[in-house]
Amino acid sequence: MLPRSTAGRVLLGAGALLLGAMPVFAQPYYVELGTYALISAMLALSLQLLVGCTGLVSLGHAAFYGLAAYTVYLITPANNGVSILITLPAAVAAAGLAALIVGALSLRTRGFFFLMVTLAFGQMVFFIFHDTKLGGGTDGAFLSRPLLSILDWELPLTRRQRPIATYYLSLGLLIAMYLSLVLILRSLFGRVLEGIRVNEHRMQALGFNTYRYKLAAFVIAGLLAGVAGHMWAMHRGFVNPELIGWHRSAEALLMILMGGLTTLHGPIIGALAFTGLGEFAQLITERKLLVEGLVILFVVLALPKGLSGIGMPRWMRRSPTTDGSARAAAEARTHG
Amino acid sequence: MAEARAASAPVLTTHELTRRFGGLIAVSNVSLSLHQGELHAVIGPNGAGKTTLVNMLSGQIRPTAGRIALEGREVAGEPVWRMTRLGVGRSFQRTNIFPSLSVEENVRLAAQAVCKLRRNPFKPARREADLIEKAHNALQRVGLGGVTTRLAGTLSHGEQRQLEIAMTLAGDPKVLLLDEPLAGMGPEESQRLTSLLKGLAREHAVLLIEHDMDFVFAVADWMTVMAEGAVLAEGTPAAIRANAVVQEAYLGGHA
Ligand SMILES: Nc1ncnc2c1ncn2[C@@H]1O[C@H](COP(=O)(O)OP(=O)(O)O)[C@@H](O)[C@H]1O
Ligand SMILES: [Mg+2]
Repeated sequence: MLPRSTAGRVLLGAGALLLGAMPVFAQPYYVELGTYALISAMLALSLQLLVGCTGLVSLGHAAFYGLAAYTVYLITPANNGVSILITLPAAVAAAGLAALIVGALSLRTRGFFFLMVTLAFGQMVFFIFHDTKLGGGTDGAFLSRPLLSILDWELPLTRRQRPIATYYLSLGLLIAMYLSLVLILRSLFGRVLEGIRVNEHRMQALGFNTYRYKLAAFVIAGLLAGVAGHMWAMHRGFVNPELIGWHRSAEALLMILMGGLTTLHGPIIGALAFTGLGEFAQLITERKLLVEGLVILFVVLALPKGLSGIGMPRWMRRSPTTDGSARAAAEARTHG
Repeated sequence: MAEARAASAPVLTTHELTRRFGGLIAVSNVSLSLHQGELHAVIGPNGAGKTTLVNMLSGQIRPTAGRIALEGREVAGEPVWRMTRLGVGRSFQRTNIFPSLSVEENVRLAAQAVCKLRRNPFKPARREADLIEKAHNALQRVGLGGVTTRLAGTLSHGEQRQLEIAMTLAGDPKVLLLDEPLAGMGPEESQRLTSLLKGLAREHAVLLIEHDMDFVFAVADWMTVMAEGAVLAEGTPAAIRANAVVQEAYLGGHA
């Protein structure tokens, strides 16, 4: 899951710096596109905690993302932005609460059934906003963006600076999310998730109540998806049911698949590539989805470890673990 | 016969334990008891219901009928993870490990699973020195002290069997259920395991399922013979060896 080699870490750091420098030389349009890519990366990364880390494939993850965005809409009075210090915790809490309920019920099933139950829950949330006037119905609704303010003081930003601030906030949150997940995966809790992914039955036989651990992971993933959903509302100032639907959940899965199932940076790379690909496909053709589909198919078939698995020569990929096993194997040979 | 039995109170007892699979009665009215410091071997031909019995004792499957008492407490039907935490540890007949994790991590997880101490779950796993030490001790005991950093999937079949037992030991069990631990082990590894088993039997209540009759008769304190789900006979190894019914039904001309 984690980049073990120094070279890998340096590459990731360089990537983060590049993303940080982007608004300095990019046109406003690309800054906004970048923000969208970063938000997608947060969504994919939050889902990776379930898919790649725990082995739980959910098709309803966008429900928590969309619910967070709608929460921002619902608590924001018309024409009057609310401080992010209120909207962000509220959106994240709403997403986490929904994840607790959905997870508690859906985690009683496994495999294909889990996939279907999460899909059903996601569609239920979708139709709540699609078929009622709660959030503007099918058409969606505009909202006043959350403000970067504390008490009565607001960060003084011009109209042109605001999207850049949202970009950097998204980047900061994405990096914070990545680092938190790195710590989680190294923790006692994270090791249990990995054990569940590899062999859940054995984990139960070892004495782990795996249901509780999976539920905790599901809720954390929901909370993180809530961060992404909040940033979407802040970025676009608009919500609609498409945010929630299974289509968005499937996109997040595709990003993970493209970037790589076995790493934490994979979904980030996958989300950036997916967004870039969508933009590029739109430029060159009217059949955007077809081109997208073909490229994704190619990536998934040609690169079993996804985009994050390429570009590193063998010596750079060497990690302490394989070093250790190689050494142990050599020792075994000399002693045996 | 009973006078040869360990004097201690039973740690685990079953009363008329039964399990059906559809029309098949895999285990039928089995009553037995496991005592501290005793190695209790269960033998019987393939399909006799030995693994099913262990699966019920360890909580993997629910009994259809009957009772299981662990230190006087009724535990039949408890989920497997709770049985482990209550002190029933088992190894699997078919190797059941985490191939993509290191040998140490396989055993460390076992120690983590049962630790009673309240810990911050978000603490880095490698800072929990007591768990790692426990893992190393268990690996040392089964003879895998030298390969802790290797990935479990790269171990030989015999070494994986040893790892399986180390994982069970790291869970601090009071009752050890060992389902054919020797299957697939080389002679040298078997030898080591034999002495390990004898040592373990002093500290635990051990239920051992094993096909190698020489081995069973050498290590068992008490034996239960099963056939077609039911107990055919029970007694000391000497009594079982002399039992005419067992002779005929199972041992053949072995003894
Ligand atoms: N999960 C199951 N479903 C149906 N039948 C089973 C199952 N597990 C075991 N059995 C049957 O129960 C009987 C006892 O099996 P088992 O306990 O594995 O025997 P042993 O371990 O003594 O060889 C066999 O006839 C087996 O086919
Ligand atoms: Mg068996």
